[in-house]
Amino acid sequence: MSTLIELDDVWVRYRMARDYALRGISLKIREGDVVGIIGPTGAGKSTLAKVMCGIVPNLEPCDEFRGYVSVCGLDTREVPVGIICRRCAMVFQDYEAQLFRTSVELEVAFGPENLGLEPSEIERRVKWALELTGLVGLERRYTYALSGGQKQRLAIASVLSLQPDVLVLDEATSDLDPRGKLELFQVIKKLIEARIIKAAVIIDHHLDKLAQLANRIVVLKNGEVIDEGTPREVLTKVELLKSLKLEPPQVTELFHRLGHTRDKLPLTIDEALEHTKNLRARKPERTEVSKVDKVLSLRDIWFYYVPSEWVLKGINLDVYRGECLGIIGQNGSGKTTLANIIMGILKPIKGRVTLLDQDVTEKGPTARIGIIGYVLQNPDYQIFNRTVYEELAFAPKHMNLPPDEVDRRVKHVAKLVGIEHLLDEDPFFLSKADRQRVAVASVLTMYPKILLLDEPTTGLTPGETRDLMDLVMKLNRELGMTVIVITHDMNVVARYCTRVVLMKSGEIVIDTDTRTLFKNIELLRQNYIEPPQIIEYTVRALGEPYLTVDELIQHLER
Amino acid sequence: MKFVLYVDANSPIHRLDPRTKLYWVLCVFIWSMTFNHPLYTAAILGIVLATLLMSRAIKGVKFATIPLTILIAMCIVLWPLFRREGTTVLLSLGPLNIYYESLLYAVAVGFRLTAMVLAGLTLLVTTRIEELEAALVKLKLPYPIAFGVSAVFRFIPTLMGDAHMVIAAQRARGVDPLRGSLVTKIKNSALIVAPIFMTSMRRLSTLPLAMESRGYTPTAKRTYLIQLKMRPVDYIYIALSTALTATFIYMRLNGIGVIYPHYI
Repeated sequence: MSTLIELDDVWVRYRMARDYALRGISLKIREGDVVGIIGPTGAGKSTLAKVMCGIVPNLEPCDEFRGYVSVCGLDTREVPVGIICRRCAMVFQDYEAQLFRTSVELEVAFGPENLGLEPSEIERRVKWALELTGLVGLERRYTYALSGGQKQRLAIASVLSLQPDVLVLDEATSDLDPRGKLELFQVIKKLIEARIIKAAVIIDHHLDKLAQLANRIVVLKNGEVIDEGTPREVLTKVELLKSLKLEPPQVTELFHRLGHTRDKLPLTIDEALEHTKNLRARKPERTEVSKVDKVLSLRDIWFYYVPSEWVLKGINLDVYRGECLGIIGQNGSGKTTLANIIMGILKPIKGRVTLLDQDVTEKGPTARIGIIGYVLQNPDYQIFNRTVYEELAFAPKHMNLPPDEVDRRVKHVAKLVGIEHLLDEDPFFLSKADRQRVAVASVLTMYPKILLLDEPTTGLTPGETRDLMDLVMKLNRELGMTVIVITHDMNVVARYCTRVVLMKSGEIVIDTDTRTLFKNIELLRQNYIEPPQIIEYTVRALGEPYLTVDELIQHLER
Repeated sequence: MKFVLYVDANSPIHRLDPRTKLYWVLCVFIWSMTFNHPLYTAAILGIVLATLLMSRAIKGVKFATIPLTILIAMCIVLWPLFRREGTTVLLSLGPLNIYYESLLYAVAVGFRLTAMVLAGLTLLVTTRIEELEAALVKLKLPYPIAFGVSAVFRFIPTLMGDAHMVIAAQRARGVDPLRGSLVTKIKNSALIVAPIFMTSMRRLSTLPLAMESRGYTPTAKRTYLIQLKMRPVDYIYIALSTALTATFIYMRLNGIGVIYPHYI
């Protein structure tokens, strides 16, 4: 097989950076390859992707670029990105920035237009790319009016229409529900089998999905390749992956912990079922959801933005002290609107909101200060002060607390959240995970009794997600803080939530404890929700969902 | 939330080539500047309104009713204070005389500006941004400029969405940037501007990478998906507009349709 991309001892140091982002990487991408690139935050995954497409060193300022990169025989230092991308093109994680055209159709046409193709050929490619990504029927839609998932599909479609030899996806499916992600991966597989695309490089944290697609996995750490091999060779190194804060496929981890040797570890549910012999486990205890102390109550909430287009249709929901409630559902099911109603940012057209036995239906967010803290998906929307300290002090200052109390709270929360060392930093220059912690901390200084989080873990690695959610649960346990979390990460739901509400087109489909929810895999599938691997495996093998690997192991009968 | 002016309909105006519509807007600008008699500028406003009615997209300009009414009112109040010439004194306020002629002129200017704004809006409610962009390209404007125009329209809704989120976040922290006295509002504007600026900066830094990654090279020749085609009806509209322009200028040169011959 011929080599498409070749990296030879590549070193990269960005402008003003103290350290190298890549340290002597050598790598070959051959025809037919699907290479998965994994590693912790800051390992250099995105840099590697950008090097393959010539963005580094051509478009991003570097103080140092050493080594040789060839893309289909082109030396990337000598050819502009606009030309290289015809051979090797990349989809970025931030879809909002790479969709710059007004309509869906034009977005996909932009690439072929640059190639100078005939209008009829452009039209053919647009149609083809939209079909592959499941966007047919949206041709004339405005891009801004699409949902997050649709925008990500569009970002992929608009690179597919270039028909590059090598497709590079840098966490380009992070906003898709697990089912959508799998569908797109299958599309890529088909394109490679049909030789329309010759190879793909995929950066992704979902190792169980990657296992089904890639033929090679490369592990990066501190800008170096520390391991490389087939998915079976790499993903069965459970200890290594865990030390990098990555999540090996859950069934792999399970069988590893059960003492199976590496060559016998399964990667998929089907493989795991084949390996399953005499697995017996005690039934997990039902975690009773305490329904005593009602802190928040929504009664028959109706809401629309445009008259008669109801976004919420008669929501009834009670939240009890100390629980961790998950709100799930597809994009557009009304989750964020519901959060805004709870916060008083929106007022319901009909219905009643009761907070700590007080009717707050007609009251705005100020009536909820100190009771509910709201953390938005994008931390940048709520960060605007010059230092982290000021950011944390902002809300309590506006509650007119005395300065020494403000200072006490800032220090207390900073310690709790683990950002004491960042208090003098400018939040703008922190990493996304740190900015997310600052956002949470800036709300916590109000000492809220309820913490409401809207998609808090999007764009975080599994390790960062765990750190953030562990922190939230620490607050839940130690301060008795009630937690409401809107999420599409089913691992978060399984691991942390005691109760789950599933929404669909503005209505609540189910409101039940987490275990009961995951028992009904069919219903979840109907709602485009894919349960975590361990849950599907345990339901099929034992007829009972175990929410985490830990839980299953604790209940095993040996 | 809608931040798009375009109203989808299949009217004769929608079907015109965007270049024809651009030419028509230009002509309306010339026509309104030609006369300064209210009856004549009213007639031109009438032509614009008739076109707008024909486009069946009038609901797309409804938002402009109040601003335009204010514009006309301001003209009527302010112009007589500055253009103080004429023979018929209507009102004497001490040393200040308000003339009948200047009032007529003020009304004429009000109609003139309204016609110009509405003509521009007619173009925008009947033309998709991408068609407008294609027209600019066809008219030999450099592509980056045409691209820039449509990019502005693309990012306004995103920016507005950002603003909504930012305000929501502030209110959740106990500060409402939209409430309070003017001084507080100005003070609080940083609360909105700073996060929006940061978010936009993060995005804009990826934009050039994303463009080049899709094969864009500033110097290379590119092709276009949208193909514009002038139809016979376009030529009829253009001929009609040109004829009217010629007629109106001829009338003005012969002193028809003016209150003050020496002013625009």
